[in-house]
Amino acid sequence: MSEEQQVPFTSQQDMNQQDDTKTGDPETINVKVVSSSGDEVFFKIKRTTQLRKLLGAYANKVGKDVNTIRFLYDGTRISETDTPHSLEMEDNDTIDVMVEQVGGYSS
Amino acid sequence: MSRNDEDRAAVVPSITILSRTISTTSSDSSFPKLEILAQNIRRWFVEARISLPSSSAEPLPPSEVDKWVEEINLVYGQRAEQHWANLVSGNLESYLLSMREQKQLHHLEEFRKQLAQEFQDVAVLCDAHGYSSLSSAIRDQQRIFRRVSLEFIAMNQGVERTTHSWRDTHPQTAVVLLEQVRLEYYQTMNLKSYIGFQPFQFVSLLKSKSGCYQIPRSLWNDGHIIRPSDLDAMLAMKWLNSSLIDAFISKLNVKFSGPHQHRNVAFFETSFATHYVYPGTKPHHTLTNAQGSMKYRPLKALRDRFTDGNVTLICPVNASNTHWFIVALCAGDSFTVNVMDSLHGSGPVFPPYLTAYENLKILWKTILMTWFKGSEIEDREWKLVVHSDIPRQRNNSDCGVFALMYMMHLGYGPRINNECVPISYRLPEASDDLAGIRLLLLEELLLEHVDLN
Repeated sequence: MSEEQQVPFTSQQDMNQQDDTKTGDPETINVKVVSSSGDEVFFKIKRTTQLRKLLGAYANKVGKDVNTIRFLYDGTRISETDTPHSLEMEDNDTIDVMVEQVGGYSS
Repeated sequence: MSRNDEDRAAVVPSITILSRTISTTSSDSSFPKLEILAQNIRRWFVEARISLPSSSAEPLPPSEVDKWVEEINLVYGQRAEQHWANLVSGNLESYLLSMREQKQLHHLEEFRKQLAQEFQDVAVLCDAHGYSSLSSAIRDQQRIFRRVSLEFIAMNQGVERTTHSWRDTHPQTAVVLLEQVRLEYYQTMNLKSYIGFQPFQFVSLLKSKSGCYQIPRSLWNDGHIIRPSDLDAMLAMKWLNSSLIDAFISKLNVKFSGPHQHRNVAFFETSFATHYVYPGTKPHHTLTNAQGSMKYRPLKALRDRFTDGNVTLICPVNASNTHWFIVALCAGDSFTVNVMDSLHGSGPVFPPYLTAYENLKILWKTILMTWFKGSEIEDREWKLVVHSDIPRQRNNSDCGVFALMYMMHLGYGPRINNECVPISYRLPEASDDLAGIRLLLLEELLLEHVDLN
């Protein structure tokens, strides 16, 4: 179900850096993107990087137009210019993905 | 009466001479409020486009006032008839004009209230300074203004109601208008020059290059954007999508932000419903952080509405990506989970109701534990109420429209078509399709501060 994307933990060094910086202001955090069906994709991203990059990468990965899916953090829509810092995201936080739903009913 | 008092009485902002400049104002500036009042009254009449009476009698005798009011009634009566005829013939220009007039009328009514207060203040001020004749002259003018302005407002409210009823009496016209709006939308024709003014964002939206519209930011809205395809669904009698529904949620949370008869309402977006109500893809503890405080931001933004315990939580639920219905948890007066469904309502219980019912109970408990730790948390008997006697869809496309209207009605009161719902928002008991309501919703969505109430 889950796989790692972008900059996965490829080396012990990465993990060490993570630990080193935990007490201060870590430069990067790990983010889990969860689809409505429960599929998970992991990303590692700098706190100051605009989330546009992550959203684009995810959309690309799942083969959808980035404009047709919504990304939510704590229930709030993420805009392209948001950063983990501006949203006060913490390490291992979750981003929820919502695809457009429709309804009218025809039998 | 002193000489000075007489002088001042002469500069009373007489309604009959409002079009003239009050140049006779004495050098004594102890009544700047009088001057401001005079200017404002002039402005009111100009904005209301009411011609002043021909008589310049001072003050205007009651018979002249009657004549004046009759004239106003006559002029507006004729205009209303013309307007109605244009509207029912599906004239887009008339339609846009009627929206503009609605907005103007609400503004004039607010302005009128403000002037009534100003009149009062000035009269009291005169009394306090012992200028009794001045004060009584002001009160005379106040009476005339009151009579004329109230008549005007009442007349226009009548016109407004009449011009709204065409939605019910001429459903085909609504279809024609929707189609015209849609065409304008695609051709991005310059409506501004067409109708000579730019009444609303509605028109600017039609003209905007991208066709995208951003719902104004508020506590409950994080910059939601509606795209042409979303609007097209509304205009072309198609199924509504979650973007459009969510746009309304933002609007509804603003519209019903205060308590009404001690009852608070809180509307939740489609994503909230998917995660926590139906199908319920996330456990409720994810609403809070490790320390047990609320972290789900839309819920945090609605915190105030939970304080006095009488609150209704309203969620649009999507079933199988084909159908919208509404669930509402009412806590306070009653403890019920209500279902308003334009399709399944009267048959056997639709399975998603039960899931939503269970999830809403857990949600309520989570809210109580998070925000009201001290309060007693008892396991209540929650009643599931499926509203079966409500207007329902007769076609294969309107469930989203019904869902939006059910939510709107729940804002006004606990039942569909309750007595607090303005006439123009009521749902017809039987209607083949809701073209008129679609137009109404479009106005509700795109026009700023238009309340048809």
